[in-house]
Amino acid sequence: MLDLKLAKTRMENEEGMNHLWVRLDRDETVETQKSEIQIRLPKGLYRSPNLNGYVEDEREHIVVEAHDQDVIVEIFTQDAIPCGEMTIAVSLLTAGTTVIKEISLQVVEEDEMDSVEIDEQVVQRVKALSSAAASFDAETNSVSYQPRIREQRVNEFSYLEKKYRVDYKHEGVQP
Amino acid sequence: MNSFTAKQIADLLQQDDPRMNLRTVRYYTQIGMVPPLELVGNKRVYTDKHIVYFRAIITLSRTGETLASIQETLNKLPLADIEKISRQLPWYEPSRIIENETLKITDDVMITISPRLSAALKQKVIDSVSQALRGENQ
Repeated sequence: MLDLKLAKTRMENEEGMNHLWVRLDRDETVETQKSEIQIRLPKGLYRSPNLNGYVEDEREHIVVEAHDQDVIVEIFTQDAIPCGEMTIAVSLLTAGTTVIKEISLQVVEEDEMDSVEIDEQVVQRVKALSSAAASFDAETNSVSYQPRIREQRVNEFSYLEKKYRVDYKHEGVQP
Repeated sequence: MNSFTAKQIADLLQQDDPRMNLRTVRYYTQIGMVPPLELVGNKRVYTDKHIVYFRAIITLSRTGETLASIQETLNKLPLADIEKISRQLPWYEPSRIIENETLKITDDVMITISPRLSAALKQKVIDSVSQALRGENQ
């Protein structure tokens, strides 16, 4: 239902960067409701707005639709923080139910990063994002990312989608 | 061969792109976007080659390429070609794109002209280049 992965098992305690990959495994034919993802970080760790371009509400919860598969955020440190094991908690909130998962990482000094293990699966996902190069800018408190693009595909069953979709507005019919 | 620390590389690159901070330099190194660091004595250092790679990455990312696509492109190219890409970085400055005008003379030649040039001088430049190209074709 909720799977967490980090690009690196350890990150620098000062000016370090990592990516958190939240994978959502939901049955969209059963679950049609929107969900919210809440990411709780320990003190000294920060995150960018999600790199997928999903809406985040005033509580910084990421709003995902039933068909959304994953969420990626950049995790970073700025000023030096004490080293040690830290835990990131992610909650998936759907219609009164909450699923919580945690993931740990080691925050270390820069010279302990030589033996860092990279999760290639996460890194490949990050590299596939068009916004990956545009990282969060803490000074201007802004992030640049490409807007989410939903591709419309037409196939032999498209007419059924148009016919039965509740939000479909047929030409000539007033909403 | 010049050698640099990650901090020095970040300071240099931030003049090109303020988002290329220390943590991004480190991260791109860790995920293999640039070649492995060189060993000088017992220290691993960045060199001029890494600056070329980082500038090429910034240039290509400004064209909308993903990191995966940039990496694939750079892996196929010799360093001389990567250097050519990196030298094009100034032309992808947002301010230049907004202010300057790029004119296509032929499929092989394009000229970028600053608005500081007078209309007369701009025309003279276009005519001169066009004439040179015509001469080449004759």
